[in-house]
Amino acid sequence: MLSACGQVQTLNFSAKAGEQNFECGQDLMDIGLSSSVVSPRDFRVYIHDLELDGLSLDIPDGPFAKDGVVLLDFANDQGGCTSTPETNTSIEFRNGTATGAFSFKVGVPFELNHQDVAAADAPLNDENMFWNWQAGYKFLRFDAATEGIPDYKFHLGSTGCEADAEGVVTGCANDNIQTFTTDIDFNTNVAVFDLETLFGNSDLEVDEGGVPGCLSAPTDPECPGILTRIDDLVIFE
Amino acid sequence: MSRRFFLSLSLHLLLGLSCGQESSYIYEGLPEGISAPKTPEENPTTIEKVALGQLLFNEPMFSKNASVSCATCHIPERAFSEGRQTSQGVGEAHTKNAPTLINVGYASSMGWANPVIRTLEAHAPVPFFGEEPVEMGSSAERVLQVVEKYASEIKKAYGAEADELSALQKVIFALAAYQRTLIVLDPPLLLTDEELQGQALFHSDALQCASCHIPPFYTDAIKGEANDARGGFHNNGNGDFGLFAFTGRQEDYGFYKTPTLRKVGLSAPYFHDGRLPTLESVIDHYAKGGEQDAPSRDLQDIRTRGFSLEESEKAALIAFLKKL
Repeated sequence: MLSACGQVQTLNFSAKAGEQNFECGQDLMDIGLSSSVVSPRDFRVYIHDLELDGLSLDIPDGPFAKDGVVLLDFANDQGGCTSTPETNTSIEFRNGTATGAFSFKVGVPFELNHQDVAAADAPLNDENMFWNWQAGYKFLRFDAATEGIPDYKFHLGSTGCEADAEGVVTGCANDNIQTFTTDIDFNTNVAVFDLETLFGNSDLEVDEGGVPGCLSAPTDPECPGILTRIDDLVIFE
Repeated sequence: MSRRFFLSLSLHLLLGLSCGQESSYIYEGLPEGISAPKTPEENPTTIEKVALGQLLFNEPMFSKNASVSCATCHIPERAFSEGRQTSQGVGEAHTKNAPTLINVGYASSMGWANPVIRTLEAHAPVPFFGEEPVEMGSSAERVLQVVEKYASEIKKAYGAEADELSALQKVIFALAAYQRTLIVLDPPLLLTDEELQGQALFHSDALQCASCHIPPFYTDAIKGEANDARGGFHNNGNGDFGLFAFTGRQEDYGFYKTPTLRKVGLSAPYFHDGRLPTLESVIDHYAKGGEQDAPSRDLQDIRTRGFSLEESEKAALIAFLKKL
């Protein structure tokens, strides 16, 4: 929920599966085509280009934000989770109004996505969010355990990238950056990452090829079911 | 093993001084027309950095359970390859064979089929932090521990610049500097009659080995020579995914980077998945024109469609390869 408090306002995010809150140590029930019991391990998402009525939100740099890129971290290192100890489920910004046309993008902007993680500032300095072999970031990483797949992964990021001779990425066939837009009243609305919808067309118990789960490869049998739902990843409640 | 291979760390003693206290590494004895490996501007090669990199290359503390170092899968005595069909790292099975690191500083890309990672600096996080599969299972904490352990050597390597570098950069830069010194470029000399026969076969129109394994690197996947995703990559009838796994483009199916043949006699088994145990089996693969049932036969390089060799000729070719 966004609330107006002088110049600084706060936008809250949450992660859910239907009515169930994402929480480390708490299984999510009845997920996907096999009604899986899902034990969370990690859930982090980079977002950027947050705008209200076409104006960029002025988000101060900090451990979870830099140059308008924000890391949302719904998992900690407890209850079987393997993320960092800290979580981040809100954004403070210094401009904007309580209502308007709100939009943001899941992902890291191209000009920052292929930088040197070893030299990057927080929150883009986390090696566990850098997709080394793709030379870019994992925009979203959801790791979990189900009965059938103890190391289930859904990692979203740009794929099919090309680089020049020096390794400077010049473009990607699939940028996999997703924009979410809504008319919002920040006094009443919350941005929710809905795992029940995301995995609604997937079987989290079966691996039919590639890495267990989906690493954004269109050729991975588990990917189409998830990637075709990515448009509905975020709802505003 | 060549003189240069053994002496790569001792021939640098002709030095020049950089603006700090560090001493520039001198690549002595490179063949005419061959320059030192290109380095990123921010990571010039120095003697101190190379020495640090060699220590770090052999340091298992990076890995989960402190069980695996770079040298575990890239064994110096095996021309920095592993000798296993595929690697296991800290325990998770890899699908690829650990390739030789000889002349890796000249390579146009890293690994077997990745068109994006083109420098040693960009590659280091893959074995450190990669999850598909886990190779070393390192972490930021592990890297910090190593940096603390080698604080003295790091100070020598970076001087005042150390304060401007992240812990990971201090490690990655030194590892890259060390690997750039793993150079073997001597021309094969003093060949026997059999080896000369093998050399002639290697360069023959019938076999065309040298059209991809181009001297003096004995590969065409060399920086500056192979600048696009397909340059230095070929479908040699192996029947596996290759670049397709990365690009998703059907026309990239089965394309793998041409490995150097330098010290190839030490780097068995062969191919990206280590499927071929001996040089003889490699020659047999090419003689029969690749895997006959490979799903990407239509993409196979025209130069790998087969040839016929007498047993003595095969032996001669192998003898020559072992001289590289």
